[in-house]
Amino acid sequence: MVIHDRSYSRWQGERDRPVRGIWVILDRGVTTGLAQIFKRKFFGQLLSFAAFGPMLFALGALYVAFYLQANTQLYGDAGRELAESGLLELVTPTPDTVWGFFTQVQIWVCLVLCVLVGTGLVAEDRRTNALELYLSRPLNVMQYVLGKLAIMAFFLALVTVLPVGILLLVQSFLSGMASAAVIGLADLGWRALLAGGLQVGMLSLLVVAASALCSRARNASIVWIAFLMVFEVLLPGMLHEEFLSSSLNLVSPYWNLGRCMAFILDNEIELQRHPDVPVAWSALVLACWGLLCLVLTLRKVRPVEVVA
Amino acid sequence: MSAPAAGPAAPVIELDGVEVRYGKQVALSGVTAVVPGGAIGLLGPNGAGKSSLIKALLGLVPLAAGRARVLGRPVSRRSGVLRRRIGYMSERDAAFPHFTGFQATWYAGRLCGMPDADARRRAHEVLLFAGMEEARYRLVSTYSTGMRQRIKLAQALVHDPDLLFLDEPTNGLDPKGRTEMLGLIATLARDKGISVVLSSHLLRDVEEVCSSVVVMRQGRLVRAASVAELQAATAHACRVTLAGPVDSFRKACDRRGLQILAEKDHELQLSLAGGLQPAQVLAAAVESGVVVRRLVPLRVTLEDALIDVMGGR
Repeated sequence: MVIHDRSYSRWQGERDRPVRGIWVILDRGVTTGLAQIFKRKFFGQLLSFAAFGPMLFALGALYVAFYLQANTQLYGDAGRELAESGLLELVTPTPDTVWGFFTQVQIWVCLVLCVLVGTGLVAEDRRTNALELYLSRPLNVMQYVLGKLAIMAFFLALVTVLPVGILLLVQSFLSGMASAAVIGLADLGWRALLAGGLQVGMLSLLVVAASALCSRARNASIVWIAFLMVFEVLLPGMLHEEFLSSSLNLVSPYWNLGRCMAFILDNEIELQRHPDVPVAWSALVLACWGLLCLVLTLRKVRPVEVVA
Repeated sequence: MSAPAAGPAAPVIELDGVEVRYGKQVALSGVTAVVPGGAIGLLGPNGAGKSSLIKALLGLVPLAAGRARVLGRPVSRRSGVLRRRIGYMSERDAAFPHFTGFQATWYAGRLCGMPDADARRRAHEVLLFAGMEEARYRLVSTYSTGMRQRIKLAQALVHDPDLLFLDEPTNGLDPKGRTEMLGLIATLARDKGISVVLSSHLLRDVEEVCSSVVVMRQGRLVRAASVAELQAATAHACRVTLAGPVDSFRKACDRRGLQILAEKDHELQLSLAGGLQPAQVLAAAVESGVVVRRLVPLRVTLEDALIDVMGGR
């Protein structure tokens, strides 16, 4: 029989150890987020497939093209035909494909992740009064918010920045590590990291602000979807119909995000689409959105609810 | 190295003109006190400012004016170092969402800077101490009110604080749960050298556990004293059992200004108000030729003392 000592004993450990609150919140938040995603196993698997399927497809296509071109004596012109088919243009990492991967392919998975993981990050803590528990520990409001942002950023980076990084790495190996190719890919690599970081950071700020505004994850999801509908679909559409000017798209955070990312990735094709709107304006609007989200979140994360 | 725990004699809380405001509303005004270690009861009616004082001392709400020191360190909203030495059990039903009892306690330890292995071991220890061994792997959301109070206590204790703030810890507990909770708190305060600040409007809870009290009303400090002092100051009466003629004793008392509050057979209750001493009772007995079989001060409950201090009499 196991006999437990039920008396209270003092802890003899090191009390002056630095507190890594952000890391602790991130660590636990990732575990909880994964549990949320895989609560329904089939759904979790489907989301994983949607998140990593495009990358796996691109990797497969790149490898097959490389293999066919390396074995022309066996497969004849199959490699050349594949190259001419246009498929490789879609999957080979270039500023245009990386931009498309971030803003058109993976964005859907990002939006689902925002609802599944992001909307409950602060809202659930508000519902269960956990903010008081957090902030009565050696943790300030900024560290708490950064911890929550880090959780969301982790999941978003997992499905955006990581696949692009893997694609670039594989492309470097397939190019035979030729210096010119590697330098080109390295240049694209840091640009992709910066652009991906901007997308991840901006989406995290938006969804955590939506979460902080509500005291239930379900309500935060509704706010998040309503925000997307109003600022990404209805408002830009209505303004464009009325005034026939693309500069009115400036109200849309995601439109501005796309333009800033195109600028970072040096994607001339995308930048030429709206030459009348300087990228600096988009950057300014985006900065304002980011600041607004941060201020809103910090105002809502309070240890004591004051009812006037 | 671990910081030395404050001894019972050293002041754990020093307040100098502390003022707390929520917008225009003043929650605390000009609170000045030096509170020694040990078990301290924070008393007062609802809205007296007890919870606001605790939150101010934790740095959860800013001080509008004045200064406060806890465990010798100044209080501020960035007092992270200080909060590592403080445990806090909230009045409200608070829990980390989606966690089991063990996970919540472990997480609370990790947030205080404990290494992972230590936090796990301590979480098990304090859950056993709080009597939660059976339920520790269940989700906190499935707990009863009593279990939630226990898990809150475990979370407040996991990092082994030197000072523990308990805000209405017996709220919602049945009599057995209340007794057990008070037993745990008394153990911590008396045997383990942890100073405890127990905020409650239940006087019996404070009386059972605390050695000193801070009485508050309408955001102001009314009195800070030991329970014994408070009771002694209010003990203005005694009970005397006599053998002999009570009539002559009654007359002797009357001459000496001793007021008889109650009388039953040979047992009388006498008022000692106005600085009268029990010696006067003995003198009256000698004068009237009665034998005093028993002379004891009337036991004053904390409730009596508190009503007296608050001006209820």
